[in-house]
Amino acid sequence: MLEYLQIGIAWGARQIWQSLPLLVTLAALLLALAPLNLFQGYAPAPDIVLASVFFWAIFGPQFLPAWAVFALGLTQDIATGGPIGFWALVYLLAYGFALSQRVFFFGRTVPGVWLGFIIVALVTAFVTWIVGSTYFSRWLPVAPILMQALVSIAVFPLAAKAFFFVRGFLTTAREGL
Amino acid sequence: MAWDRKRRRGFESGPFGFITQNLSLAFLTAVAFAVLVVTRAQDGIFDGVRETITDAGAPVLEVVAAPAAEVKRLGDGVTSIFSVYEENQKLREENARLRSNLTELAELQRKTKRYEELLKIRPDDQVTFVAARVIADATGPFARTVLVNAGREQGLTKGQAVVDEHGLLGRVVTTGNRSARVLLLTDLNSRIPVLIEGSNLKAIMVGDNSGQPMLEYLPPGSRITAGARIVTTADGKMFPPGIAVGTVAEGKSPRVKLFTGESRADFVRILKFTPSLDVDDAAPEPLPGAQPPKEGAAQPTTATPGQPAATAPRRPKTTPVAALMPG
Repeated sequence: MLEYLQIGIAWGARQIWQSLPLLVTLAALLLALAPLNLFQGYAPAPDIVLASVFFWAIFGPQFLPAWAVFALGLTQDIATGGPIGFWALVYLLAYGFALSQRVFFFGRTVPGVWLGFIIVALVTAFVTWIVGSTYFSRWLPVAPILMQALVSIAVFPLAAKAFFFVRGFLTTAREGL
Repeated sequence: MAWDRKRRRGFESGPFGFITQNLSLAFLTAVAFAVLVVTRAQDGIFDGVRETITDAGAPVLEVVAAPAAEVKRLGDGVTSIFSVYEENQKLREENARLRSNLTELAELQRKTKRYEELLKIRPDDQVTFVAARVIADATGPFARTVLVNAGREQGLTKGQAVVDEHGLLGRVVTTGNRSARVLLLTDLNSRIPVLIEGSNLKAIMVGDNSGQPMLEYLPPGSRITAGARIVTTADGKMFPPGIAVGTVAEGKSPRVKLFTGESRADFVRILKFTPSLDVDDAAPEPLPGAQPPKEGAAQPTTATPGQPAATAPRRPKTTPVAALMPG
C-alpha cells in the first residue's frame, strides 16, 4: 500500500517537475499583465508565450506538449478579455509550424535559432491578423500586430537564455536536436 | 552517430509516438477552432467562466500589481527629474491663469444656480463613484482592456463609465464579485456616443485598436475643426454627460486624440450614474388617431394592478416642456 503511495507521490512530483516550462511561462504571462506601462505605452509588451512555444517546440516538445500550449492560449484569452479560443488556436498553429520545421534547426547556433523565431513570429503575426480580421469581420490595423512581433523578436534571445536555464533542470541532453 | 540515434529516439520515439503527438496537436487545434467559432456565434457564452476565473486570479494579480506600481513610479520619477525646472515654470504660469479663472468661475456658478432656481430646472443626475486600483493591463493587439479590483460587491455593473485624472478611460464590460474588466476607448469593440463641443455635433467614437479612435456617424457634410473638445453625451443613458474625452485630432479622417493618452493611471474611478428620467422615458401618450401600440410593445410603461410599473411614480418629476414656455 505504502509503495503505491510512494510511487504515486513520486509520479506526481515528476509531473509537476516536468511541467516546469508551463509554470514558468504562466508566471511570465501573469507578470506581463502587471500594469507596468513601460515605454509609456508606446511599445507593446513582447509575446513571451510565443517565444516559449517556439523554444520548447524546438528544444523539447515533451516538456511543453500540445495540451500545455492549449492551456497557455486559453489563459491568455481569459486574461486579455479577447475572444475565447483565439490565442489557443494561434499558439497551437505556431507550435505545429515550429514542430514541422524542427529538422532545420538541427545543431543550429543561437543566431540560427533566432532567425527561425523571426520567421515563426512573422508568420504568426500574419496568421493572427487573418484570424482576427475574420473573427471581427473587418480588416484590423496591421501596425500593432507587427509592432508586437518585432518587440517579441527583439526580446527572444533573452527569453531563450532563461528557457535554456529552465531546460538545464529537466534534461542534460545537448541543446541541439 | 550514436548521439544522433539517441536524439532521434527522443524526438520520434517510434512511429506510434510520433503520430499520437501530432494527433493530440491536431485534435486540440480543432477544439480551439471550434471554441472560437462558438464564441463568435454566441457572444458572451463563456463570460460566466471568464468572470469566475478572473475573480479567482484577481488576488494574485493584485499582489503583482502593487510592486509594479512602485517600479512605474520610480521610472516616472527618473524621467521627470530632468524636466523639473521647465515643469515648475509652466505650472507657475498655469497657476496664475487658473487663479484668475477661479474668480470668474465662482461668479458664473452663482449666476447659474440663480437661473436654475428661477427656471425650476430638475436637479442634475446623481453621480457617485468607486475608486479602484488597476490590477492587470491586458493590452494586446486585439484587446485593450484593464482589470480593476472592484466588482459587484462594490456596486459595479456593466456599462458604467471609468475615468482617470485626465478624462474618460473606458467602460465596464464584465463584472466579477471583486474584479471587473474595463474596455478601453481604443478597443475594437468600443462604441461611445460623444458630443463635439463648439459645433454641437454628435458622433459615435469607434475604437480600432490604434491609439486614436475614429469618429463615425457624423451628420453628412458636417465640418469639424482640429482641436475641438470632445465630451460624452447622455445619449443611450450610458454615461453622465460632459466627461472630458479628448480633442479632434489633425488628419484626413476624423479621429480623437484622447486625454488619457497611452499611459494609464494606477487608480481609476468608476462612475455610478443614475440618469434622472427623461421626457422620452415617460409613458407615451397615444396620440389621438394614432394606431394603438402592439401588444407587448408598451409593456414597461403600463402599470398592471398587482405590480405598479417602476416608471409610473417618477413621471411627475419631469418638467413638462409646455410649463417652461412663457405665457
